Amino acid sequence: MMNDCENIAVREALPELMLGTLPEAERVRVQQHLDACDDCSAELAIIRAVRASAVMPAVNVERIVAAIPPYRRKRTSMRRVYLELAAACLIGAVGISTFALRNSGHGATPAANSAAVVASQGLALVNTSDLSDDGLAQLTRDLDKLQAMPTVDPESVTPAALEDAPEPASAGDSA
Amino acid sequence: MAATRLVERHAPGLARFVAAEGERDSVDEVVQDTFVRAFAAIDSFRGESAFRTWLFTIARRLILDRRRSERRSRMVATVEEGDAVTTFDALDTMVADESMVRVRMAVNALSQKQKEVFMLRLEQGLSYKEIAELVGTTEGAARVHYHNAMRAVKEFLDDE
Repeated sequence: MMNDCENIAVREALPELMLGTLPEAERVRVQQHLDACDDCSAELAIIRAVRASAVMPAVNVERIVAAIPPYRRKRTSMRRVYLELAAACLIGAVGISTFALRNSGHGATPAANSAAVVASQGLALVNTSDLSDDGLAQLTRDLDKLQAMPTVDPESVTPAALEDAPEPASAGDSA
Repeated sequence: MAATRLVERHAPGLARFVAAEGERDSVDEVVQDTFVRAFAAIDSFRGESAFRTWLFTIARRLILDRRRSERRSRMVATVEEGDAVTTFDALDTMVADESMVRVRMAVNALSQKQKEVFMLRLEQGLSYKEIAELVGTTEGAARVHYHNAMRAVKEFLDDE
C-alpha cells in the first residue's frame, strides 16, 4: 500500500531530482530523506517509470525547417493605418476651417476673423484684445504678406547664386 | 541558422508533449505545424513566457482545433476534454518492462486534465506556473491536479 509522505517539500522536489536540476544542497537534503522514507522512494520509482515509459517520437528537423516560411517583418497593422487616416482627416479639417474663416465675411467680425486666424496658426503671441479693428485688419494683412513670402531652403542657395543676386536697395536709393 | 537551432532544441520535447496529449498518429504533422505557426507569429512573442511554453501553447491549440474539426467532420462521439481517457494502444505493449506498462496504464486512466498536468510536470519538467499558463488554470489548481494524479496512479498500482 503506497501512501503520501507528509513532507510535501520533498515530494515537490522529486521531479527536479529526477531531471537533475536541483541545486546540490537541496539534492543532498532530498536524498537523505529518501534514504529513510519508503513512501517517497516509491513515488520516485513511479516518476522514473513514467519518464522511462514515455513515448519518444522521432522528429525530422530538416523537414520542419524546410516548411518554415522565410521571416518577414510584419506589415503595418490596420490599426496604425486607421490612426494615420484619422490624423490626416484632422489636419485637413483644421486647414479647411482656417481657410473658411479667412475667406468668410459673414457672421464674424473682422476682429474675430483675424483672431481666429492668428490663433489657428499658432501665432497667438500677439495680444489681440488690445487692438482696434483697424489694427487687427492691418495685422491680418501683415500676416498674409508673411505667408505669401516664398520659403527658401538655405542649402539650395549656392555662393554663385548669391553673387548673381541683385544688391539690396540702399536707404539712399529709396529716397 | 537560428531556425534550425531552435527546432533541434525544442522539437523532441514538443513531440513528446504531442504524443502525451494523445496525438501519436500525427506527431510529425502537429510538431511541424506548430513551428510554422510559431515562426509566422514570431513578432507577437513577447518573451513573457519561455519560448518552450509558447510552443506548447500553440501545439495544444492545434490539437484542440484538430479534435474539434474531426468531431465536426465525422459526426461521431469523441473524447471531450475533461473526460476520462482509458485508451491503451499497441504502442504501450512495446514498453518492455512490465512495471512500466502498468504505470502507463495507470497514467492513461487519469482524466485528461490530470494526465496533461502530470505529464507536463514529469516528462517536460515544467513548473506549476508554466503548466498553469499552458493549460489555462491557476498555479494552485495545477499543483492539486498533479497530486491528485499521483494519488490516483498509486491507487491504480495498488489495485493491480
